[in-house]
Amino acid sequence: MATKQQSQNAITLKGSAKLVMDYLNFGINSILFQRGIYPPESFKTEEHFGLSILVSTDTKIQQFLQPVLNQMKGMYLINITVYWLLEQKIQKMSMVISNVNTKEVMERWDFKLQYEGSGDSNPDSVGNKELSIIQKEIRDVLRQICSTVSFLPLLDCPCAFDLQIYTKPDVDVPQEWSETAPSYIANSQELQLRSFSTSLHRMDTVVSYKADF
Amino acid sequence: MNKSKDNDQTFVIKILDDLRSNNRSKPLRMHYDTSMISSNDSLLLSNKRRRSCSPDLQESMLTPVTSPWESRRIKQELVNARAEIASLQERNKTLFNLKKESDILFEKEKSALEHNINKSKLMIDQLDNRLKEIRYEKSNLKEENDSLMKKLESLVEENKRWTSNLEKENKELEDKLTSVTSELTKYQNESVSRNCTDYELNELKKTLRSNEKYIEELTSNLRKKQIEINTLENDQVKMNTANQRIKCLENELASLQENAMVVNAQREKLKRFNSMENELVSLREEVAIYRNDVKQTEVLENKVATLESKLNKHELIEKEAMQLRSNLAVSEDRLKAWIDVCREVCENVTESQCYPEYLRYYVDNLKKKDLFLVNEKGELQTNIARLELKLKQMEVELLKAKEQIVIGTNNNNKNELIIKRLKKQIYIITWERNDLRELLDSFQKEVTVIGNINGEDTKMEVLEKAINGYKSRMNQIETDPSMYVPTDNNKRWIEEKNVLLKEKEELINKCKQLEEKCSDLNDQIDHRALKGDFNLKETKVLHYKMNPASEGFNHYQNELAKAKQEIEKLKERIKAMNEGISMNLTQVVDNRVETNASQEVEGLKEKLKSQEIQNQRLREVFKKSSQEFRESVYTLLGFKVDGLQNNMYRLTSQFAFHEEDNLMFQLNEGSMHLLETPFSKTIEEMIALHLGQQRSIPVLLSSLTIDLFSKQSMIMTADSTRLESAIN
Repeated sequence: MATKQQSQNAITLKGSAKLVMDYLNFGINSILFQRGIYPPESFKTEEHFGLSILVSTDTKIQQFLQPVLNQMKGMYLINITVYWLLEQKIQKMSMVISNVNTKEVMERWDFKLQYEGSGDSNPDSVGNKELSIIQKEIRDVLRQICSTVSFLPLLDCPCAFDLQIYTKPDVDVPQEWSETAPSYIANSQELQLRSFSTSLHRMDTVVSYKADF
Repeated sequence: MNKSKDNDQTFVIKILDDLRSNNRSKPLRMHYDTSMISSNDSLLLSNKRRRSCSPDLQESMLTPVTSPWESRRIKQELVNARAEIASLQERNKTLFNLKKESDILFEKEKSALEHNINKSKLMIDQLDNRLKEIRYEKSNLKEENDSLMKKLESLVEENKRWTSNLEKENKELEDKLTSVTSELTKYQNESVSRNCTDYELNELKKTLRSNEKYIEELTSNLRKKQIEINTLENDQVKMNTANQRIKCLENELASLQENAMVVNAQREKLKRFNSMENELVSLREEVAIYRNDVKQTEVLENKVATLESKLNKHELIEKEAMQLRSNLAVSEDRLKAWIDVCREVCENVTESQCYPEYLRYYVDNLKKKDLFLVNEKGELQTNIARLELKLKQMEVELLKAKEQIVIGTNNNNKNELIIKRLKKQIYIITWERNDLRELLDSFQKEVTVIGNINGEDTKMEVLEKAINGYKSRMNQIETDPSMYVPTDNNKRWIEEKNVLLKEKEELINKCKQLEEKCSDLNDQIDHRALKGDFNLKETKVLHYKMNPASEGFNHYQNELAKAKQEIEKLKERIKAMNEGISMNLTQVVDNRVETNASQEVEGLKEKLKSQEIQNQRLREVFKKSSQEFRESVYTLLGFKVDGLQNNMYRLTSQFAFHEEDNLMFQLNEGSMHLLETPFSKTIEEMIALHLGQQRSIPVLLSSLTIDLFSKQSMIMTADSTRLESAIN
C-alpha cells in the first residue's frame, strides 16, 4: 500500500524528465505558432495539461523535434537529450529564431535547467511534489508564452529556428549532432517568464528579443 | 404341508390364469361396460385370494416347528410368501388405481359425449328455426314478387299513357312550329313597313337640313350684328380718346395762357433790365471795395497775432530774466560765502588771491596728506596683525609647553610607578637570590655528604620543591599585571599597535569596497546570464545538424543562386530583345548564358595567369633574398655554401687557394656527414683531430679558416717581402 501511495503522489526522475521534455515540445510548438514562424494552417489543436495547444503538423518540424525532444519509447530506448538530462549534463536549452536571409538572431528563448533533489542520477529516484501541482505550473508558463505575443516585436522577415543545447564539456557528441557557436542578440531586451519545478528539475524560461529603437 | 402350501399357491395362480383365459376366451367385441365388469371380477377375485391367502398364513404361523432346518425353510417360505403377498397387494393396488383411472376416463368421456349430444341438439334447434325463417321469408318473397309484378304491369300501362301523351305533345309542337313559321312570314311583312318609315325619316332629315340652313342664316345675321356692335364699340372708344384729347388740349391751352402771362411779366422785367445793369455795375464796385477791406483786415489780424506771440515771448523772457537775477543774487551770496570760506581756510591769502584754483590746490594738498596718512595707518594695522599672530603662536607654544609639562609629570608618575615595580622586582630578585643561596648552601652541604644515595633523593626532592616554587611564582607574575615591568619598548608597542589599528581599519575599508565590488559584479553576472552569457570554458553548445534554421539557410542560398541565374537569363533576354532578335529567343538566351559561363572560365584563366606571375615574382624575390643570405653567410663565416641535390652541401673557404678546394657534406637523418673530396685528403690530420676526437664540424671549419688564412697571409707577407726586396 505504501509504495502505491508514493507512486500516486510523487514523481520519478524519469517522469520528471519526460515532463520537462513535454513542456519543451509544447512550448516550442506554441512559440512556432504564436510567433508566426510557420503558417498557422499547418498546426492542429491538441489537449495537453488541460490546455488546447497548437502542435505543428509539418513533417519536417516533427522530424526535427522528435529525435531531439520527445520520445522515451519503452524502458530503455531513451533519446540522447533525455539521457543528458538524466545525467545532469544539460545547463540550458535555447530556441534561437533567426532571419533566414541574413542569419541575424531575432529572438532567443532560453530554457534554463536547474537540478534539484538529491543529485544522484538514479532514474527511479522520487520527488515529493504532486503531479497536478506541477501540471498547473507548466500550464501557467505555457499560458504566459502564449501571452508574450502582445509585446514581442513583429517578425517581419522569413525566419527559421534552431535548438541549441548548452551541455557540460565532458559530453560525447553523437554523429547527428555538432558543436556550434552561441547566439547573441545585439541590443537585446529580456523578460523572465514564470518558472516551474518538478522538485527534481527546475525550469526557468527567459525570452530575449531585439529591441527596436 | 409344504406341498399343500405350494399347491395352495399354485392353485390361486391357476385360478387367476383360468380367469384370464376366460376373459380372453370371451368375444372381443366387448363393450366398455363389460370390461369394467371383468375388472370388477378380477378385483373380486383378488379379494377372494387375499382372503384365501390369509388363512393359509395363519395356518403356517400356527403350525409348530419340528426341526430347525425345517423351521428355517418354513421361515424362508414364509418370507417368500409375504413378499409375494406384498407384490400381490401392490398389484392389487395398481389394478385398483387403474380401475379408478378408467372410471374417471369413462366419466369424462361420458360427460364429453353428453355435451356433444347437447350441442348437436342445440344445432338441430337452430337449424329448425332457420328453416322456419327461410320458409317465412320465402312466402314473403312470393308476396313481394306478386306485388312487384302488379307494379310492373301498372308501370307498363303508365308508360303507354306517357307515350301517347308525348305523341300528342309532339303534334302540338309541330302545330306550334307551323304557327311560328307563319309568324315569321308576318315579321317579314313588318320589315317592309319599316322601309316606309325610313323614307319618312329621310323627309325629316330634309326638313332638319332646311332648318339647319335657316339657323346658319340666323347665325350669319347674328355675326353681322355682332360686327356692327364691335364697330360701335370702337367708335365709342374713339370718342373717349377724342374727349381725352380735348381735355389735354384744354389743359395745354390753359398752360399757354399762363405762359403768355409769364411772357408778359418777362417783357416788363426786360423793360427794367438797363436800370438793373447799372445797379449791377455799382454793386460790383461795392463788392470790390469790400473785398479790399477784407484783405486789409486779414493782414491786420495777422500782424496782431504775430505781435501777441512776440509779446508772450517777451513776457517769458522777462520771467527768465527775473529768475536769472534772483539766481545771480543767490550765486553772488554763495560766492561771497566761498570767498569767506577761502579766507578762513587759507589764512595767508589776500582777497585778490581768492580764486578757485588756489582752493583746488589747497584741497589737493589736503588729499595727498590724507592718502599718506591712510598708508601709514595700513602699515600700522599690518604690524598689529603680525604682532597678534605672533602672540597667538606664542600662546599655542605655551599650551604645547604646558601639555609637555603635563606629559612630563605623567611620565614622572609612570617612572615612579616603574621604580616601585622595579623595587618590587628587586625585592623578588633578592628573595630569589637568597633562596638560590640557600639552595647553594644546601647543595654544598649535600655535596659534602658524598655517596649517600638517600641524600641524593632528598636533594632531588628539594630541587623539585624549588622548581615548583619557581613555577608558582612565575604563574603569580604572569597572572598579576602589576608585576609586569613596563619598559621603553612600551611606547614602541603602542605605536605599533596604533599602526596596526590603522592598517586594520584600512583593511576593513578595503574589505567593504571589495564586497561592494563583488555584489556589483554578481549583479553584472546575473544581468549577463539573463542576456544569454555563459562560461565558455564550462559549456559546450550543441545542436542537431539537420535543424530547420540551417536547412532554411541552405534553401535560401539555393534559391538565391537560382534567382541570380534567372536574372542573368532575363538580362540576356532583354539585351536580345533590344537587339531585335525575336526568333528562337530562349535558345539564343541559353547560348549566351553558356558563353557567359565560358567567359567566366576565361576570367578564371586570367586570374590563374596573374597568380603565376605573382608566383614568379615571389620566386625572384626569394632568389634575391637567398642570394643575399648566402653572401652574408660567406662574408660572416668565411665559407661559400652551395646546396646541391640529395641534401648535399658544398663548402668553399674564402681563403682557399683553388676553387676545387672544397668540402662536401651530406645531411642524413638530421646529422651532417663529411664526404671525401680531393681537398679533404690534404687535411686528414685536422679531420681526425676535430671530427674524430672533438666531433664538431664548426670547430673543424673554423680551424680550417684559421689555417688557410695563416697560410695565405704568410704567402702574402712572403710576396710583400719579396716585392720589397725586389724594390730594394
